[in-house]
Amino acid sequence: MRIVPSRKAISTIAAAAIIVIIVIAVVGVAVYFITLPKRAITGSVTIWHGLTGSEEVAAKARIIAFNKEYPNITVTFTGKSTLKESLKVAIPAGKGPDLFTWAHDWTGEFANASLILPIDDYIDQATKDLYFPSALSAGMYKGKLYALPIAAEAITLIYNKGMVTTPPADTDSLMDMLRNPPGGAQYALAHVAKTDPYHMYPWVSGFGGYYYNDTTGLVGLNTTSTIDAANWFNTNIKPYLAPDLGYGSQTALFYEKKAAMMIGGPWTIGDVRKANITFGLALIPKLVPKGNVLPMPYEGVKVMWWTKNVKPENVEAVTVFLKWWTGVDNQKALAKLLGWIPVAKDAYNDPDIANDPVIVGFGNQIKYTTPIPSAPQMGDVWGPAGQAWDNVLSGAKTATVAFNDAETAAINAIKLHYGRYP
Amino acid sequence: MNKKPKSPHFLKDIWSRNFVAYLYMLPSLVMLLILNLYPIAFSVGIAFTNMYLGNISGGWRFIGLSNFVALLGSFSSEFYYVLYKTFLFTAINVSLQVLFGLAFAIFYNSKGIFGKKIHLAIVILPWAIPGYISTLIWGGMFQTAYGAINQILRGVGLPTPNWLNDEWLAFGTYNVVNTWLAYPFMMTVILGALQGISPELYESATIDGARSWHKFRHITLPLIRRPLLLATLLTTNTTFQQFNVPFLLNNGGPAGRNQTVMLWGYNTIFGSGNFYGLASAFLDIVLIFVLIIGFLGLRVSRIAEEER
Amino acid sequence: MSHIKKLRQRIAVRFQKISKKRLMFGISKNLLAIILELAIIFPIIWIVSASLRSYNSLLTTTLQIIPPNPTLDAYYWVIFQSSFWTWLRNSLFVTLFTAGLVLLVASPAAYAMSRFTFLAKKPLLYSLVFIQFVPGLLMFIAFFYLLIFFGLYDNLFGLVLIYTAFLLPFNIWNLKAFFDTIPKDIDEAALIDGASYLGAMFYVVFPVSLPGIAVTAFFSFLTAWNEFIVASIVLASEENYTIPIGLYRLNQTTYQTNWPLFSALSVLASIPIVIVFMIAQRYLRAGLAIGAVKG
Repeated sequence: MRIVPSRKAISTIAAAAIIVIIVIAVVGVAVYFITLPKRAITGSVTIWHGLTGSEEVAAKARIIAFNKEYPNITVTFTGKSTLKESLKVAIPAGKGPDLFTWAHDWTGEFANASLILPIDDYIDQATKDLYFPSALSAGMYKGKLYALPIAAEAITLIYNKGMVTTPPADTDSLMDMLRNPPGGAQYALAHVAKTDPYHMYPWVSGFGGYYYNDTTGLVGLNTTSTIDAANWFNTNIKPYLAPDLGYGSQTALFYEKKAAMMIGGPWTIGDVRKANITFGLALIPKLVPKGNVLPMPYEGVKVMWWTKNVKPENVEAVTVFLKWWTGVDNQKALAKLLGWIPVAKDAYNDPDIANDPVIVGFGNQIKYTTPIPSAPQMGDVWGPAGQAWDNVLSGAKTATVAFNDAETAAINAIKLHYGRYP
Repeated sequence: MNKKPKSPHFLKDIWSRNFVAYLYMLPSLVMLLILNLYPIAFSVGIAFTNMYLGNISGGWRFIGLSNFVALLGSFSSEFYYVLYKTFLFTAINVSLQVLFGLAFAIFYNSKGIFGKKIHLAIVILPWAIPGYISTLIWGGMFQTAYGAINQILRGVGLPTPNWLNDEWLAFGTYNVVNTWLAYPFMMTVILGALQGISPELYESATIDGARSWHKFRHITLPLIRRPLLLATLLTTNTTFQQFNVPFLLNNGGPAGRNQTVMLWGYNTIFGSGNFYGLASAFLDIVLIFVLIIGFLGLRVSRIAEEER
Repeated sequence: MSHIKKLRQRIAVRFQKISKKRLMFGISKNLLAIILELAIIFPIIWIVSASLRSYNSLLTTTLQIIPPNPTLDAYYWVIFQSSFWTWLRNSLFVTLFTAGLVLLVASPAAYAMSRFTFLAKKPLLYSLVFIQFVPGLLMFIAFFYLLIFFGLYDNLFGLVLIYTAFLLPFNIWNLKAFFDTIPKDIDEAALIDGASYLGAMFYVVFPVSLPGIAVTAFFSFLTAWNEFIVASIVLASEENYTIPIGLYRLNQTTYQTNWPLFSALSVLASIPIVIVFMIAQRYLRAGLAIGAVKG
């Protein structure tokens, strides 16, 4: 016997089917129109970067995510091995990328050479407010904004929880620990100090000194504060450190559990984990001799700049990409994938991120940092600064002599290169 | 000497000879002119301008000798230190290269070595492997904490210094690495020359009662003098202009104290200031030095040849 | 039967002649050679050993020549998961093209300089030597703008041009010196027999100059295969990258270099050039005309 649907059944099913189709159509059209602005944006964006290894892999994954949201923008994401040199040759010739990304201290030299353009016209105040002020200022030079920040990094105190229960809050406690290394360690502290003015900076700033001032253009190597910092470190900390102050040796001490604590940056965490150390992060101890002031290390901010090679037809696409890459979502994603510390307020305060002790730990320190000066003259200051520290710590010169010599050398180099000082 | 039959169309011959000669040389002349001479002229010219990255497409102007004055003016400027370091490096390194090249060539040319071909293949490996790869490998081996060199030293209880972060230790590593890379060239040239010496010369000398040292001084040395000098000249030039080794090992030593001449030029062009004008002036001065070295070298080799 | 007896006698006599002192000397010489060579190729042993490790095991403070758990993971990654084949293809293209172009352009020029006398010969010869001494860095920026002018930026052929320009002076000079050692009578004979200049050059002189030509081709190959600074600035798209760039980027990781990966790629990148080197070795000694010591 054949089953013949009754008329009533057919009409009900037909009605239901029609309703379903209409709903799907409406929803589809709605979705299409909502995403239309994004899909409608066309153009091409070329970005150059210097990331390698796992960082590059993560970044490329994010590019794919971007392409899903903006399918009509062609993105070329190229890794360069000689990033700075390639940019300097290609951009003036009109063959450079639209955007590039690196640590912020290139801003001065690229701005001076007019290779990058201010983005105040493309970025509104609302976008600027997304970031922590100090991070945003890293992309500024002479009052103009050239780049948006992506992540920040600074050195902080890393300690082995198996050896240290309470990290030292101030330098008095630190010195107690130096005299009696805790937890059976050979050294209480591992501190990179050989030809590394970057790692020495927190102490300089804690004493009120500085290497170079962007605003005044002055080199501060021979200020009394800087010299005091050098003397203090040489007398109080250096004697308790392992004799080889180089980066490789000192960090190895911590990884091999011969040192209980280390002053290091986020880049060391990978190796710390590989060494199976349960670690904690703490602020660099307050300087008792200066009234419990918190030493402020240099902050390096990864930023993305806008070059002068951007063609008018691509401006919209480039703006979209720049905002997306430095945006809250991408910063969260990069934080999760790579452990980068976000500088967008909403990303940093996001509950997911706030659970990561590494990010929180470094993030805390980042609140007490100064951005590395982005003036090009800084390039002439690093060398002499490192030399001065080496001379003091090896006993070759007294701090006064060493830092005065360094001041002269830096000023001479600046005069040679720029024709004038300040 | 055969006498060429004089052709009835003498002038036509000369013309066709010249024509053919230039025709053969045309492609290379064109390439040399456009790709070599023009860039040299351009770059020499820049030395007299204040060109830097910012004004390269316009806005630069001639400033005469200002760059040269700035460089040479004060004795404490970086310029003299870089020059001094580079000269020192070249002198030490070329001597080492000649020493090892000569020693190896003589050693492997002597009798009594089995499997000479295999030995030579092994000893020439430092030249065969791409230089920048070897340099990066050596850089890894000289690392303080995990490098192979310090691993060995640690194993026998010797101190493990920070090779790449100490000015003179790093200087030493440059010499080790560059000698390792460069001695095979010397060795090959000398070996080639040694193999051209007929053994009869030695045999007759032995019969006359000559000892090894005399044989070396009076037979070997004079006969390899020319290629040896020319090879030394070439390698002096290359060593003086060495860039890869200091760049890849530690980018010019702690705080740039070990920058050689080429590395300093590179850093000046691409460093924070991007000073093309200054760098070009510097490189022009380097060029003059190099030409002087070359000229002297050719003179020496010509004198040596006349002595024969 | 008597052959073998005679042979035996000869061998016995030979051995008698070798005194003990000589034998000791011979053995110690060979021993010295082996020890020397081991020291020299230590970096090579190290890099091969590093390429067989997993990342962790390299960061130890004691020496381990033989890796604890040898693994081919690094090679696997390089061959299958990196852009190795792209790099290889690009490097081969640049290298072969450079060698070819240099030979094509330099041989006739060297021949002309060797065989003919013509106007401006001496100055030309001197300028060839002169150009070799000019620091490459000096010419670099101008080169770059030239390339852009010809539309060859980010183009492998642009790289070929730069390398060729760099190689021409030495190779013309070296080839000329090499041709000089071939007696002119050969050409004269061919010319008298009715050959054209071109014919004389191609069919008579070139076949005899194989060592010199091999050296030219070889040096061009070597330079093009190994160069990385210029390549890294001239090439801007990842599909144009050559092997040295790939290698350099692997060494540039932010934290510790990933030695196993870097070593594996180093080994793979070195093998072709080492093979070519071994083949060319014998020609090198003959073909480096500065070593020509005749009469």
